[in-house]
Amino acid sequence: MWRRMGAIIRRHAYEAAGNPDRIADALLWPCLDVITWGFFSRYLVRGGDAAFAAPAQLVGGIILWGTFRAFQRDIAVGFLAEIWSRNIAGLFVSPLGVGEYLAGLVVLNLAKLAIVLGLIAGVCHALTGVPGDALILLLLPSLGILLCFGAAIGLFVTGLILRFSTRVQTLAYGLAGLLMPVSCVFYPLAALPPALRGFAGLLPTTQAFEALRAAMQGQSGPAGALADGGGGALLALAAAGWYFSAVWRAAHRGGQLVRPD
Amino acid sequence: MDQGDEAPAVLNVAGLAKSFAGRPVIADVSFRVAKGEILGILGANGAGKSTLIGMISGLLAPDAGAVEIFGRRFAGNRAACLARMNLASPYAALPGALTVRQNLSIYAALYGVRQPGRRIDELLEQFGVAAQAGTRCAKLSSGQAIRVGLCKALLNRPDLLLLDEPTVYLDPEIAARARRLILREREARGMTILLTSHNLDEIDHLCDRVLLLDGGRAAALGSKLDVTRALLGQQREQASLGEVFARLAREGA
Repeated sequence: MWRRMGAIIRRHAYEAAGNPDRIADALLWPCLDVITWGFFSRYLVRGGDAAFAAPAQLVGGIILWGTFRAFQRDIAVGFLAEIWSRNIAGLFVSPLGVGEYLAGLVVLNLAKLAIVLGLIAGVCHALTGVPGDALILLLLPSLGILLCFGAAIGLFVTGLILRFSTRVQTLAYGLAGLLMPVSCVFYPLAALPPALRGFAGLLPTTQAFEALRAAMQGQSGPAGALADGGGGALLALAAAGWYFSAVWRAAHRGGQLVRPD
Repeated sequence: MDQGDEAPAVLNVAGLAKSFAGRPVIADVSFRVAKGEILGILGANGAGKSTLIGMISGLLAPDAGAVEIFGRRFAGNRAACLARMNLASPYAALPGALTVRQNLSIYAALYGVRQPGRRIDELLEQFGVAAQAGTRCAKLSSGQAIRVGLCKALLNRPDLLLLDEPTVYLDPEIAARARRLILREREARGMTILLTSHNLDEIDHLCDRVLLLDGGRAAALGSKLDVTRALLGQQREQASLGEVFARLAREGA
């Protein structure tokens, strides 16, 4: 199992290493986002008691949202790459199981994330004055929720691609983005129109960012938001896993693995 | 009697059936393939050849019937069966962004090949693509890509090899070389091969027996002469797959 997972990690690492677009997506753009918004938030605050909290909230939101979106996208695009390259049949007539394949993708993206966060912490501290290491420690609980929910969306989108072919491949890049306005990344849940609050409150992303804000402002209550967000994310992951399994079985019956798309 | 009935079967297909959108594509197909045997699957476009290969390789779930490989039901022993099999098909390409060596090393790891570097070098040399080891697969010509696909298919020294149109896009000289290498692997290790091809010379040259598919049904199964007689009359003295195929395309079985 580990050997086969390792092979999948290597397969995608080779592809990423040879593709400047992927390197830019993974490393360059997240760092530039943090630098830009870090400078902007410093300009807005200009000293005072809020010198840490306000810029950190903005930069923290940028880091977390970017991470969530990239994690979801890279899982779905990883699978999409197998369809584009007509590699599905070769992979799944080997002893590789689909669970091993997906686990390999998740592990690879977690490793990539660790590198990116390390880089961001350094850039953040050096250029914007926001203490990156302290900030990332503060982000970790919310990050856990977002990664779990990101994996759920990635798996769900992968299922949609398998079911409806590359006609829906744009979802791999965009589905998480659709949730951004109601995920309360930069503003509290209370800032949303009342009609949207119920739905937004159900999203693990909203709970993750509510918890982050509460923690940064030293308020009580992040534990409740973290528990709600974590539970919601786990529930979403279980539902996405169930959906993907059903689509995978249907693909076996329908012939999509023989000739995808 | 068929060779597949005498020797222990490496592959035993019983009553396989598959329909798409209510249209039968494979209907009640049964056959056995013995160790070291090469069975050719012959049929016009849409006869169900690739569907049959898809079901035997586990990519496609049959509606009915069962596949036994190495004496075990495939359905409950997928990974163990697949570890001793491999497939070459124009529908199973390799990622174009990776080099030939990177791709083969990944498949070597998936199959647990021992001393993968040496095995990869040996196959690339045999198939005349050693110079392309560092080339990205997207940059290969069609013929080179097919040869690299054959290297991938032989990487784990499979006991059962599924070849779906293995020499399509190859020029005659390279195709003949590929056939020689496949035969050499078969003779050296008793590899069993299931082969689909539109190239009748290839079927004639490589195969011990032929399964003739017509509209998803097994129209005939046996030696090339048996199949010729089944379709063209018992008085025939010589096998003529060309005539069989022409008749099949014109009138069906």
